[in-house]
Amino acid sequence: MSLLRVDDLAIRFSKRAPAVKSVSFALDAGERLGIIGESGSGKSVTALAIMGLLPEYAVLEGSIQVDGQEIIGLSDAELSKLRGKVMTMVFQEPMTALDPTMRVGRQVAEAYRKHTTGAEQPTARERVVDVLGKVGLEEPERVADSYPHELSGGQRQRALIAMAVINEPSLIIFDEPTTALDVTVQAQVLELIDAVLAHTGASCLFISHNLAVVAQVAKRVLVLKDGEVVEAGEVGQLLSAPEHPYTQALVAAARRGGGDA
Amino acid sequence: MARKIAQRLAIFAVCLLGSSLLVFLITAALPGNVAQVMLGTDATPEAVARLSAELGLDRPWPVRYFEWLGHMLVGDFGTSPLSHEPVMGLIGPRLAVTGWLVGLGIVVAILISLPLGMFAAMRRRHLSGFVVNAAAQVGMAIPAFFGGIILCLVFAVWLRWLPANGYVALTDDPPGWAAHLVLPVLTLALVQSAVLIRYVRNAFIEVLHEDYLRTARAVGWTEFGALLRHGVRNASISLVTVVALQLASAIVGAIVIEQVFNLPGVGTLLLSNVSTRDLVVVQGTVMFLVLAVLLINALVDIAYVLIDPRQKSGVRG
Repeated sequence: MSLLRVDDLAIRFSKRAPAVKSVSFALDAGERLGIIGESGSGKSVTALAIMGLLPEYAVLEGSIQVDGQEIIGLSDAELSKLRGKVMTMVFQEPMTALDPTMRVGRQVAEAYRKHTTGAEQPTARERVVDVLGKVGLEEPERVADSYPHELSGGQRQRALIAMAVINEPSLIIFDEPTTALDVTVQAQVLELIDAVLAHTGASCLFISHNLAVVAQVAKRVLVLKDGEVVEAGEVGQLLSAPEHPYTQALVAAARRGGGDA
Repeated sequence: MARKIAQRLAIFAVCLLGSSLLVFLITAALPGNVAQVMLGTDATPEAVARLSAELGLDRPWPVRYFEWLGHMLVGDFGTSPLSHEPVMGLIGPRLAVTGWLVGLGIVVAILISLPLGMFAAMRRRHLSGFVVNAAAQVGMAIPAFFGGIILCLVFAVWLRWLPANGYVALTDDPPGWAAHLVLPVLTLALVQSAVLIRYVRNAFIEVLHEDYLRTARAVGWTEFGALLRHGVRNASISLVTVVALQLASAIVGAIVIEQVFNLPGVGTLLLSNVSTRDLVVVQGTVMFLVLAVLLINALVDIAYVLIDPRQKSGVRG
C-alpha cells in the first residue's frame, strides 16, 4: 500500500481560478519523489494541502490519503496529531521559520514533546542535543542554547530539519529547502537531506523549481504546470528525453548550470 | 545591554528636565495670582503686591524656577500658600486612590482586549471578528466621562448594585473598597480597551502571517495552539510599548474619571487647586504625574530590551 496517495486533487481559493486543477500521484514507503514546476504551478499548494495547512477558505476536492487515512475533511485538531508525527514539512525560508524570541533547543524540544508521553519528557534535552548533532551541527549544546538570530541560515535550516525528523515521521515534505541558502551551503544541506532520508527510511516529497537540485535527492519526478501534472518519470529518463515542451525548457535550464538554485 | 539601559535613563533625565521647565512656564503664564485669591476680589493692588512679595512671586521667573527645581531634587515639591500643607503631604494619601484606579484599570483593560483582539484577528474574515472591531471603533468615540455617567446611571442609579461615588480605604473596609472601585475601574478599562483591542488585533494579524507559526503547525500545533505558544510572545513585543503609552493616557483619563465618581485621588486634588489658583500645588502635582508617566515609559523600554533577545546583542534578523 502506498504511504501517500493523492487522487484527482483540485484546490480553489474562494472565487479565483483553481490553484490546482487535477493532480494524482502515489508515494511508497521509503520512496523519494520530486515535484518540479515554476512558481504558481501549484506545487507548494499541493504540499500544504497534504499537511492540512491551507487556510480554511481553501476549497479542496479529490482525495489525499496518508497511511490509508483520508486527510481532506479532518479538523485542525485531528491533523495536528498527524503533523510532526506521521508527516512533516521543511520550508524554504530558514531565516523566518523559527520563533525569534525562543531558544532553538526549546523549539526543537517542543516538537518532540508534542508527540511524546510524560515519561519520555525529562530526556527531551538529551534527545534534542543528539538530533542537533546528527544533522551536522557542531557544538549542538551551544546551538540548542542559541536564539535563531545567533545562527546562520544554513545552521537554522539544519535545526529545522532536526525539528522535522526528531519524531521520525514516515513522510517529510521539503519545499525548496535550499533556495534561500548560499550555493556552498546548499550542497551541504542537500547532502544532509540525502543522509537523513537514508538513515530514517522516511519517504520524501521534494519540491523545487530546479531540476538539477531535485536530481540530487529524488529518483522519480513529477512536472507540474498550471495546477496539472504534465509529465512524470525517472529523473534520468526525464533529463535525457523530456517529452513535454515545458520539461524540455527545465532540462535546458538545468544543463546551463543549475539555474539560480 | 547595560549601555542601552544607561542611554534610556539619560533620555529619561533630559525629558524630566524639559518637562519641568514646560510645567513651570505654563503655570507661571496662567492668569490669576495666589495673592489675589488669598485676599479676595476686593483687595487693594497694594495689598496684593505686598503679599506677592512675601510669597516671593515678584522675583524673576528663572530664579523661582531653579529654586523650585532644587527643592524637588531633594523631594520637596513645595508647600501650599493657601493650606500651608506640603504638596507631597497632599498627594500621599490620594496616591493610593489613583494608583488603584489606574493599575486595576489597565489590568482589566488588558484582560478584556487581549482575548477580544486575538479573536478579532483570527476571525477577521468573519462577521464576528468584524463586530468586535466595529464595537472597539465605537468605544473609542465615547469620551471617558460620558461612559462613566452611563455606567453610573445603569448600575448605581437604576439597578442600585453599586455605589455611585465616593471611596473607602482598602484597610478600613475591603468589600466597600472593591464596591466603590468597580465602576470607575470599569470605565477606565473600557475606554482603554477600545483603543487596545485595535492594537492587539493588528499585532496578531501581523504575527499570523509569520513563518514560524507555520513551522510550529508543521510539527504538531493546532492553529490556535501555535498562536498561543508563539504568537503571543512575539505580538507582546510590540504591545508592551502600546500598553505603556496607554498607561500614560490612563493616568490622564483617571483625572476625569475621579471627577465623575467623586474619588479623592490625585486628579481631584489637581483640579480643585487649579480652580483656587494654588499654583504651587498644581505645579507639584503635575510634575509628580509627569514623573510617573516618564518613569513608566523608561521602565517599559528597558523591559523591551529584556523581552526581545535580539535587542540584547543589537542584532536583528
